[in-house]
Amino acid sequence: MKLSKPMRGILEKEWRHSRGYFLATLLIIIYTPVIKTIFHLFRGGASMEQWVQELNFALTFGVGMARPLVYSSGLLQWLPAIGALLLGIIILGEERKGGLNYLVSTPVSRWQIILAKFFPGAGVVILSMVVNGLFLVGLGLFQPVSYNPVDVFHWCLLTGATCLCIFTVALMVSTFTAGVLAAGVVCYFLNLLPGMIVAMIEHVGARYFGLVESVSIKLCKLGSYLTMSDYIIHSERHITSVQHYPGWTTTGISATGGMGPDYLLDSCILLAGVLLFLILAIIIFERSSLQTGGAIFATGSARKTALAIGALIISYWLVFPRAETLLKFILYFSLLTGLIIMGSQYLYRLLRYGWQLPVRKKKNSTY
Amino acid sequence: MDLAIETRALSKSFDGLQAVDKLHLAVPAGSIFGLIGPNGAGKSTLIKMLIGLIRPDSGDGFILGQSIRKRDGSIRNRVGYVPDVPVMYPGFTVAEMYRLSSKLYPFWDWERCRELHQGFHLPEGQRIRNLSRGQKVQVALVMALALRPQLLLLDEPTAGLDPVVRRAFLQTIIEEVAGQGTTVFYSSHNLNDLEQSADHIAAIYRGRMLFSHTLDELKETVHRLQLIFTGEPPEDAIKSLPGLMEYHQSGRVITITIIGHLDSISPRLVELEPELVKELNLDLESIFVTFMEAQGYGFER
Repeated sequence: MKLSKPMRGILEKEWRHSRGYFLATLLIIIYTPVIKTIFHLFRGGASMEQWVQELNFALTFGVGMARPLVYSSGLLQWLPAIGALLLGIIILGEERKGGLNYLVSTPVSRWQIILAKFFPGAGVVILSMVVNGLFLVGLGLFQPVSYNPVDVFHWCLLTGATCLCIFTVALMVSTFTAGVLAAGVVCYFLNLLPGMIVAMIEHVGARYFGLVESVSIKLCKLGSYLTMSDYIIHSERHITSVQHYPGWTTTGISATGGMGPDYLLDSCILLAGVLLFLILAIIIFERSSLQTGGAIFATGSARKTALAIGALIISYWLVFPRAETLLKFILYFSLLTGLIIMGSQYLYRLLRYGWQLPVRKKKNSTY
Repeated sequence: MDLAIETRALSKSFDGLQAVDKLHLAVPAGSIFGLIGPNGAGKSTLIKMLIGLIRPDSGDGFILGQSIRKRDGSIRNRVGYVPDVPVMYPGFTVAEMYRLSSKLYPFWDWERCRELHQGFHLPEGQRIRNLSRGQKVQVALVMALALRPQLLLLDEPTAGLDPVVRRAFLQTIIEEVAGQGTTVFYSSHNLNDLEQSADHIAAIYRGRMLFSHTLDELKETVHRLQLIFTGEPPEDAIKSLPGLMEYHQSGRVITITIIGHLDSISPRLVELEPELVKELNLDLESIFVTFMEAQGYGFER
């Protein structure tokens, strides 16, 4: 496939502009498996033995298994994800300060801008995981490790897919947020949001519609599959029972320990997520104006959507523990949501324009 | 008449504030079209919508015959844009910015780029972040002209430039229009610059079109007249004149600003029997101020 001249131009620009970020991301992703291992190799002796044990544990027992607290190999899962997140929010968010306005005013289409950011970023993530995989397999030739190349492949596949998904979500979030910090904050909440919404639906179903436990378990599992951080820690995937505490918006979940993740299924879900979030990133970026309108959200529609979601969650937290019947729940929930949305909008206008809202004289004549 | 820019009921609002309000505009191809208006009138929003930085809420706009709603970036193949504060890539050198532009624009002309670069005495190896504002504007202009534009969108580019650079900037644009037939759509607060270079003028206020004329038409349409009466001036009769925009009385001397052709105004004035009628010189700035004051725009003490 031959790339068009503008596409080659912006890919070159991307390399010239973001190569520092690409290098930093690569170093973050390979830090624990490669750099830290080399560090322990140099120290040798007990330090290396302890580290090999930690690698064995993390790679043999699965990505997110509970591990002894003294083990620092948790970094094996978290650092790559953090690296991918930072790259996703920086690669587009940072450019909002300057160059993006120039780029959008040229003959380059907006979808090309997103793809020119996605492909190099995804390439760095994949390259980093290849380096990690080769290094860990190579390490097995010189050190007495209990993991095998299949374990390494599984780990690389799932961690790589998780990193790609997180990178794409961060890229998508950057299309409607006002800067790097704002994108980071929104990414954090967006990670929690699907799980929260599924939990809310499950609670309402259990209390007002007598949902059976098997359905509750399925819903909780769905929530876990929709939460990206759960692919890293896998804390709530193998659920055996769900307990509801009366009057509370929390749920007790019992899960079986000692089970590894379904690498293939999880990776496929994550890669489907990558495709979905990439399409969403293109659609949002195509439709939005490049005008920074606020501290967190760059567009008015993003601000309104966030306000509506925030109002729904706050209303739920306040109403659900107190509403005994479905009718009361619907009534209070709708009322409070509406009040929060209207009140926030009024407060926003008040803070922005003061007590005297702008009044325009209707005197428009054309000569 | 070929149009380089056309807007049909183009609208954009920000948080409930209407920045551009059902704007209809027609810019003839090959003209230097000046856009004037007070701060916050919607000039920059309009230009940003035309270049694709801001998406319109409703209505449509066309540049070089293609809709600005079109997602394909190729509609900007021959459109140059110089914003009020060119940002570009701060870490890039001037040469790197030229190289990037050359890859993005299909009609890029290196010879023209070198010629203009040397003409402005710009430092090639300097990073964009180290350039002065004036130099950044010049780099942006070099890039906008080297792409062999059919349309140039300039958003208050000369604000804050020293007179020498400003003159060079304007001269370059006039030469471009004369040599290449490029259409220039030029928003500025510097009305003297526009008066010297533009052949069409449009004014917008609160996102709506106040007027759109050729400069000659505008000067033929708006008149400032001084009327001297022997006795008490017929104030009510003067104030009822159609098209009256401004009225000022000092004893027996009345100064009015009025819209309309002199042929149609003269018979009405003769009926008032003034002792003397004298037309005063009215420059673009005075015309603009008169229109703005008629709209209730001004500084109140």
